[in-house]
Amino acid sequence: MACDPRRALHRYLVLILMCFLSFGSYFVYDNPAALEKQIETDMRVNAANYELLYSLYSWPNVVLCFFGGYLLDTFLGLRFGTIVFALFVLVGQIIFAIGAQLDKYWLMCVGRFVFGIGGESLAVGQNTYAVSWFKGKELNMVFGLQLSFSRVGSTVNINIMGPIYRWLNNYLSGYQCLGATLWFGCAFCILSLFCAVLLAYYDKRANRLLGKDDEKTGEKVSLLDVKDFSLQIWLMFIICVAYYVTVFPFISLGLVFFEERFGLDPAAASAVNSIVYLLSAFMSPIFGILVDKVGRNLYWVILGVVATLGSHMLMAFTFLNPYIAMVTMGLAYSLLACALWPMVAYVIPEHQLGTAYGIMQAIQNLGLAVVAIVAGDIVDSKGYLFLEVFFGGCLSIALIAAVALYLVDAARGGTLNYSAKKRNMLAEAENL
Amino acid sequence: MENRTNSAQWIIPFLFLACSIQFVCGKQSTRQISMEYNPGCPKEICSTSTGNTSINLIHVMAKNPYNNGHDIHYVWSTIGSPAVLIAYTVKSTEIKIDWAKFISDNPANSITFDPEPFYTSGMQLTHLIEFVDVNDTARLNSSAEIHMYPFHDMLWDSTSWVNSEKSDGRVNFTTEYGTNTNGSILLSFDAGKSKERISRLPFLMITSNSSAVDLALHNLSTISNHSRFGLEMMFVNSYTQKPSKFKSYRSIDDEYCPAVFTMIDVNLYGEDASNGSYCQFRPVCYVNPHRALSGQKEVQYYEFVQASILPHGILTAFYGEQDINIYGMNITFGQKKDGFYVATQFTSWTSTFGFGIPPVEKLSLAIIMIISVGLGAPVVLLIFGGIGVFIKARRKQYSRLESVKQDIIT
Repeated sequence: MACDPRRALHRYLVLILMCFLSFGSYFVYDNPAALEKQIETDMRVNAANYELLYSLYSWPNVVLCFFGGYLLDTFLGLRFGTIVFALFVLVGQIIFAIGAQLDKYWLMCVGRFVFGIGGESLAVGQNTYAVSWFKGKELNMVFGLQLSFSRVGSTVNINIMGPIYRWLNNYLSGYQCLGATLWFGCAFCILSLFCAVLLAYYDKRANRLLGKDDEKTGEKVSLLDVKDFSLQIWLMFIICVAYYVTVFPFISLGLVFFEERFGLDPAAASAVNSIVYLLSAFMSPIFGILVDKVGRNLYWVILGVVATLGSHMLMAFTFLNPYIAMVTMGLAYSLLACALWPMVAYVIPEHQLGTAYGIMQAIQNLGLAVVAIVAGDIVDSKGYLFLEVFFGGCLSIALIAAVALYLVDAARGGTLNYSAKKRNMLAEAENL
Repeated sequence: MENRTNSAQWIIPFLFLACSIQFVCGKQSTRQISMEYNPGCPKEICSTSTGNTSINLIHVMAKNPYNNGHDIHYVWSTIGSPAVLIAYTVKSTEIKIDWAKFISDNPANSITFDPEPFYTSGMQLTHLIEFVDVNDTARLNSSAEIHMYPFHDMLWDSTSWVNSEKSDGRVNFTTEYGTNTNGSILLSFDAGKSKERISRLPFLMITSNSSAVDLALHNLSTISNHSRFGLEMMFVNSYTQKPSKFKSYRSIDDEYCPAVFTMIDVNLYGEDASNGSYCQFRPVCYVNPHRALSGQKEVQYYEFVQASILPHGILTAFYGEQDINIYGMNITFGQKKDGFYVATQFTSWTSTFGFGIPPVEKLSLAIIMIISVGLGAPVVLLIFGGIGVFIKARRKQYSRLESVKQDIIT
């Protein structure tokens, strides 16, 4: 039963592989954060140089995952491409660990860059796999579960890397201890690579058995296709970037805000600040199931944007306990994430999905990188109230895009806001 | 397209209104500032050639341009304890100083106004506090080693002063402090000409009825590496029927002073609400000469208490035996884990002291605009877009109906 690709049980087994596919990359992504103090002392670098470990990952990915997605659609193909990107992640982490072992900080930076080439594109591959296996089925839940796994990956990392370092410190010291600790991250990357290979095998097998090998559909994918993308997909990109920049850059500036604005002590402030991450780990799969059962993705997206706007306005204009606002934001973020990403699959043909997800991720990375800098400047010169109002403005753009998407979709007789019932009926009709 | 023009039309009158309000209010509350240095002081007392530069008294007149208005007088001086005296008077009131008496041992009533002001009040810096913060709590408590250095023991110089038609009036005083560190304390007073923000952090609001008091502690020698400094201040109110009040309150607005949401007002009440005076400051100080968010540290404040004795200075010279209310208050500079005073050897702090009621922070135009456009635009889009889609759907239905009709006919 589990061997039949049409069966739900088989799908769920494949889903486990999908979740662990990028577990390794999320685990090692936050290695520097978990070991910040150790890296700074063992490698004798200052905070600015330490930041390089993140910026060398994020800035190239403003462009890289766009090409990554395109390569998945064309030369590499989804299966082989995903394996290649998982390899990049592993090799990047190996270089990173060797750099620490040899006491060469520049080599560690090279490792992070190589890791970056694979990391985001691997996530694009993961999204594309999810659509090809779950479209018309539990797609929203799958996106929710993947989001949840990414959170679990970085949380596990934050919590175990420090203790591992301390344990190894009994036998090793300085950069050698750091290097040895980082090798541990490689284990998870190997696990992810293993998942990529298995996924490729099962995907090929399923296509063979079901006789729908999409790689030979003969459709040419060109980068120029981008200009023919429908208005709907561009509106989704706008929602994506305008929404995400109001969550993550805010959290990275949140500690001081909660201390000064609400008079919380540092421990309480950091607890409030981590609510969004914590909630998204638990709630995303649940909301995913909800969206699967009800459908009407656009309403959920609009609700998510409005609730986040409300939460920012609460923190800007009231002294209400910030837990309320941050819980709202955490729920809204989880809801939006699992309702927004699957919509791409309804307006983009499957052979362009990699490109579309690549662009979406690239634009999001660009937005996050730029807004992180802008937000820091706003706080320095205009304060947190203005920052919150700025985020309100971004959310308003997201809301306008979401409302426009609803109107455009309604006017063009689109399918984005179908209820689950209608979607199932259509799917059945198609199968007949 | 339709939507964009709609929201733009909506903004224009709003902008115009806001600008005109700003214009009208700005114009009404401008005063002319004029300053005199040691007015009427005889040569034998105030001559700088005798080397005595410590007699510094500045009389500032903030003149109302309208004939029926009232004037504000400030007296700034570092004779005795540095202090500000503020007087709210009718037009063409004159200050009279009996200099011989003023510098004598009994200076009571040596400074007078003619005719008598409606209301007066004063702010005086009495002691520089140094305490050793062994446990890095940043709070002054009785178990700490505390040193109180009276300001009236220090000799002050007036280093520079500025008064032009365009600017506010400003005077800098400085005193040497510390034996081998080249340390100094710089004290500045500004008289506001119109309602505006002081052009440096924490961007306090100054009005044509108020003045600013700035203190900078530069390179002071310390008794310990764990030393922190503080200030003992006193406030005097000529109106004694209503006790003065200290208020610290949080606001949502940190647009002008990033990351600081607390404002502190000391209200010295007059006969009615608007006829009193106030001292206002943000509980922050700056540990670098260039004020920036990165060098912004907390100011700790302590109980506001009634006091009975005022160290000598212009306030004792003016009030003499008059029945007045005296209050004292301490503040200390620095917060936990900031490396104490020795980290940068510099601390500066600003407050305002003025007539009337403390200015209240209001949301800036930029914020109001972003919010109105941000919330308005999606609603407008929803309404017009919704109508558009509805009409389109109706039309489609109608044309389908028409074609059915046609079919039936044919």
